[in-house]
Amino acid sequence: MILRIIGLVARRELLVARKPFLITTAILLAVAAAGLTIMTVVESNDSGDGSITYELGLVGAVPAQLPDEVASRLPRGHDLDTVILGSIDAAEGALSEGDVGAVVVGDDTVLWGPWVSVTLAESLVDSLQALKARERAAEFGLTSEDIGSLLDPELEFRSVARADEGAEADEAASSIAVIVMFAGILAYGQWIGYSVAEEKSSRVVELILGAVQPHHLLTGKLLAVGSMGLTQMTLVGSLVVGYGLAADLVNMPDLAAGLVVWMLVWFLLGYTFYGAIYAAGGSLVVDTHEASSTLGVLNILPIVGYVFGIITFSQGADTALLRAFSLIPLWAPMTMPGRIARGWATPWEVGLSVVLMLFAIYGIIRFAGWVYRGGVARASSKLGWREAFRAGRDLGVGGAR
Amino acid sequence: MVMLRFDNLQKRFGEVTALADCSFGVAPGQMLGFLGPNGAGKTTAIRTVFGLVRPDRGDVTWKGRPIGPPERRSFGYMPEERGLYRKMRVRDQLLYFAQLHSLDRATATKSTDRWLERFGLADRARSKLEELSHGNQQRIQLIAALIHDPVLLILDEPFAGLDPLGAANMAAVLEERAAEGVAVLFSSHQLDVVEDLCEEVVIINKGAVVLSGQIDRLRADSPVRYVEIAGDDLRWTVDLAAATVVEQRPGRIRVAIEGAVDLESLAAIASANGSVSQFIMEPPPLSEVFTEAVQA
Repeated sequence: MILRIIGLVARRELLVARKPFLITTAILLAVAAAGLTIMTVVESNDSGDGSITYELGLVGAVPAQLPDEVASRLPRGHDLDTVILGSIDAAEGALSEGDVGAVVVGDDTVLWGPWVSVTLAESLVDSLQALKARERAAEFGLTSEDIGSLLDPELEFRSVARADEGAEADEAASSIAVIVMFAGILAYGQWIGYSVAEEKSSRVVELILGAVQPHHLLTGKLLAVGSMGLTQMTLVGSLVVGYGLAADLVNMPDLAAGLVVWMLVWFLLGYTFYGAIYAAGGSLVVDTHEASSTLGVLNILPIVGYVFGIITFSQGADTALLRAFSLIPLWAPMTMPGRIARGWATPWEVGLSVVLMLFAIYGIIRFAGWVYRGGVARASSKLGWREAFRAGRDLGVGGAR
Repeated sequence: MVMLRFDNLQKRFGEVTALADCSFGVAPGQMLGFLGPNGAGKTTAIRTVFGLVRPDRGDVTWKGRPIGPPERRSFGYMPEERGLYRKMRVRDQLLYFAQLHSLDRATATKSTDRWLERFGLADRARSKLEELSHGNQQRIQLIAALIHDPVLLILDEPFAGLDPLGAANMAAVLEERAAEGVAVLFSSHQLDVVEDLCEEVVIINKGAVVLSGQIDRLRADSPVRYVEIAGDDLRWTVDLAAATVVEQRPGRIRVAIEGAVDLESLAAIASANGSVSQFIMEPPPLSEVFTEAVQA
């Protein structure tokens, strides 16, 4: 019977929220898709096919091997086009207009425009130096093998530290984790708060409490809004990861499946914790106008975790304070996923933070449940937290004896 | 047999005593009027039934046992502060309330359609509540209390804000429910309606029951009698001992007489003083009994 009632409450919440849920989901997906498209365009340098193409101007007797030499030194996904220009004047004009990135005149002169790609410049200089070195080496009677061993000695490179590119991706992932956790918890927590405030201010709650226990009503609401939040986050997350992988975005963080799962887990934990607090806050007000001020004060709690997380992760250090924040249930949802993304969190720290979070959720649901019970039963008056808590305790489980 | 019993309920909110000693009961098929001035404790007493207020002392019982969630789901309730989901469709929310009160979906659907039909609101089933007139919203509120065929119906000021037609419709439904064995308890300040509908009332003041019982008996127990006489010459009435003229019009007078009244001698005096076309003696109305009780 209890499950049936909780299910009915949750179903009603979903029914009422269906339209706003679909609209906000569509907006979120559209915003995410737009962001990804912009990233793709920026990364592809307007080439439209995911690659960067450099235009190299050639004037006079340029060594025939130069274009291939330069192209071979460019990173993967970067291409080279050559343009034959008739004169130095034409070359300068093309550089000024930005039609070409650089111009090679003969076999020993390079002209740069106002802006030049560092990648192109490095490849071009290395290529010209190599061609010149081969030419001079041949004059000294060296064989092609000798020249090869001179220009390209066999060296072994081994990385014993994290690659810079990986660290950059991890930093992006940790910042994304902080933002997503904060935004999700704030949005869906407030949703719950306003839903409770609206139910109380419309006085319908008195009719419902004649048939439903307050904590069942609260549980049904938490389940419904939480499932909508999880669905939206999963959809948007799938779009971002799927699109990012399909488009092979250069700066797409290397999101491991494990991190995505951890983010969903932490969203559920954080949402349940904060959702109960926001529900209790919503139950204290008499009308929805008061709700914004009461719930606004509560926003300070996740904001502290958000600001701290963003600043700390941008500094790139796993400080003692960050480790402490990631274990404190109030801020663990905003900081622990980021530490996991960075590879800083040890398994025991993750386990401890989850256990602490579960204990905190149990405690806060009990506390918020009493406040909620006391708050919604006094439909005609605004209550303080302590007064509502006492009123809720006074009513006790099952209401009047 | 009393099913719902309030037994020595006491409740204080800080310095304010909401219920001092409130004891009474409601039987199946009984329609009991629950009367009292504003702030007397009616709503507090009603809210104890639904667990919205916990008494400091005393008990509220149903069939002799404490009331828990399963019992409450079999009760119907119309709170003083009306409230439904304004943006929810009428049919959806009635279905919701029916199912919360333990009806399965098929039965809830049948019941919803039946009650909407009964109140002439079947064509508004898909409307949002806020799109309905005030009167129709009141009707939906009543349906929400009736939707699950409750065994006990408690209505706090059900006639407040209703036009005469709406009030008549409401009264008819309550009478019908009581006739089918439902225990009905309702509070109201419209004492004429209560007098028409109920056989018994409970009057509370300052949280305590000050008078209760059958309306006819309560009226009869009053020492005051009203005598209304229509005739040609009514000058003799001014000589009546202990009589106070309440109303006087040409050819008609209404007096209040306190103390024992000898009906036969009064009638004899009246006929001796000329022709009498009408002679009515009656106890005071409920409103006067109520006023006396709460001012005592």
